[in-house]
Amino acid sequence: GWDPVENVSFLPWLLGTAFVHSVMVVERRGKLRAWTLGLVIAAFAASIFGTFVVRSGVLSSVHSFAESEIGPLFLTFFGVVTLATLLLVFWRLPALRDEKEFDSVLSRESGFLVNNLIIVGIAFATFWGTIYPLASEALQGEKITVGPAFYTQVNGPLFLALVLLMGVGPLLAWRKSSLSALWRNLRIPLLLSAALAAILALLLGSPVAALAFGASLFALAAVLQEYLRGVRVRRWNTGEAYPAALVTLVSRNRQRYGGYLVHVGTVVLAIGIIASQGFQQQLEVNLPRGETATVGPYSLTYLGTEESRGPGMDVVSSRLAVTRDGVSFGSAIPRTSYHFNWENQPRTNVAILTSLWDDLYVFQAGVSESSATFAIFVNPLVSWVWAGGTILLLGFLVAAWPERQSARIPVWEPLPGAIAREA
Amino acid sequence: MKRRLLLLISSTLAVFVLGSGQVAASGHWDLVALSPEARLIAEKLQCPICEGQSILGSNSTTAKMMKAQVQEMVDAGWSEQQVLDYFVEAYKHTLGAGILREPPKQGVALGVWAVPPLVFLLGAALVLLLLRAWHRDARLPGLDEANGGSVSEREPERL
Repeated sequence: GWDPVENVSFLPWLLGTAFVHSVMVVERRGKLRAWTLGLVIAAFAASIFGTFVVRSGVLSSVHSFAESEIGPLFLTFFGVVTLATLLLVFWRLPALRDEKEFDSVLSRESGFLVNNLIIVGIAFATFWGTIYPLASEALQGEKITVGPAFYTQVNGPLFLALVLLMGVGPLLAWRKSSLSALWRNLRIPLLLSAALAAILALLLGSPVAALAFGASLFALAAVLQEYLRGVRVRRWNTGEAYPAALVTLVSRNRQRYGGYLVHVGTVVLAIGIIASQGFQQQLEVNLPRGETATVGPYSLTYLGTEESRGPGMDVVSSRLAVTRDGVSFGSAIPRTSYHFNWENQPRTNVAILTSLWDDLYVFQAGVSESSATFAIFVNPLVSWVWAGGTILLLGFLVAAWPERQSARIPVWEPLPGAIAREA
Repeated sequence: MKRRLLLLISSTLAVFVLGSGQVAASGHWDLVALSPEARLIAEKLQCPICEGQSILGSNSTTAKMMKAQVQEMVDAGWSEQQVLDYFVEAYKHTLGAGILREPPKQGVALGVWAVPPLVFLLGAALVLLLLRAWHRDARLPGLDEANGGSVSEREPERL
């Protein structure tokens, strides 16, 4: 929702994501050491900064927490941590020299550089938009509101670029890729997603959404192709059956294939967010008892309202019979609760019905003797947001589950002495 | 029991008394029914008494009155820009342009728009410079690793 509190808690995630990518360049190529250290420090500092923002009440947010005296303490802590870690890095900077070897600009390591540029760009824009109202009021005495429109316009193109890179990056080889090899790997995902984007542009009438869905499919297809290729190679080499080949492939390269799974989760999540934000349908309607309202594929018939007494409150609940595409889909029961002594601050419970393709939200806005007013929302692909989050977590577990011992061999092949030292 | 129901009805009725006849005539209780055009505009106006919410998302009395006002203006044929300008003018002594959820691309608010792209371009330039430096360093003679140790360890002696 791009609320300040959500933004500041997003920052450590962004910086941490940039870190897990650049650290692979450190691990495999011995480059970007100081930068990677800077990212991990920035991610930690951002999490303290976020706590400061949330707890001090310096920014106005829908998530208002109780204000306390803890703000200055956190600001001091933030300052100390930032200063101390920066001093440490400068002190040890001579030990952070990078390897000099470099083969080609068209390589995985360059891909990670671009990845870092985009993610840090998103993090900066998010940070900037969050603190700008504060700075503008303090320095210029002018109040400014930075709403979601700013973030969709500034971060939207960056996220699109990131999703595209998610498709290209894994197909780039370490050290050096040839354009012809890249094209060979890219052409199927690229053609598939271009075709889908064209179809969606016609169906949805929104070129921007079509582009976003097309980019998502491109990243998805590229990752699936990587899985397929890995499994085929294992099957060819070892004669394993497909499921067994998949299991050994993933378990032997967990960082890689777990990471791809995280990409799949992210893309599914992105599709869910774009669809539910961009294609929401809504209706506010006053329904006499027995009448039906239709929103998207749903038809809702208002059956009636009743009052009941719960523990410490009175509850007014309405019942609506729901059909989806003409098939019965259960009933929606939105409620309003009046807690004793707090009757002027009623609590509303939204009724939610979930299907694979959309979620139906029904909110009871008002009730009279013979009719009731409802706000009805149809949010497409919300379940994809949940599914994407679950896949992402699963991929993270596959990639990050501790190994017994690291057997990773750097591709720049240091001399035997260096290996002995690292072991 | 009936008391609660009456409370719900009366509290929503109060909104109509404060709001415009337009809303009352639409027969809605709590929500202010908005046309799609008015809804788009309401999403662009910050609720002056809420934290971080548009008037569309807010259920406060002020927001409801503003929504009713927006609908009236739209019905009277005002353009989106005219409505937004009206509210900026009406709130010029308190929120000013802060009443707009999307900061204007002028004045002090221009900074919020201009800086992130500039920083991104700067970052892109740094990436290019870094790639060039990598390319150049890799070609420097005498830096192959055949003579023992990695480059980073031999660096101090060499310098």
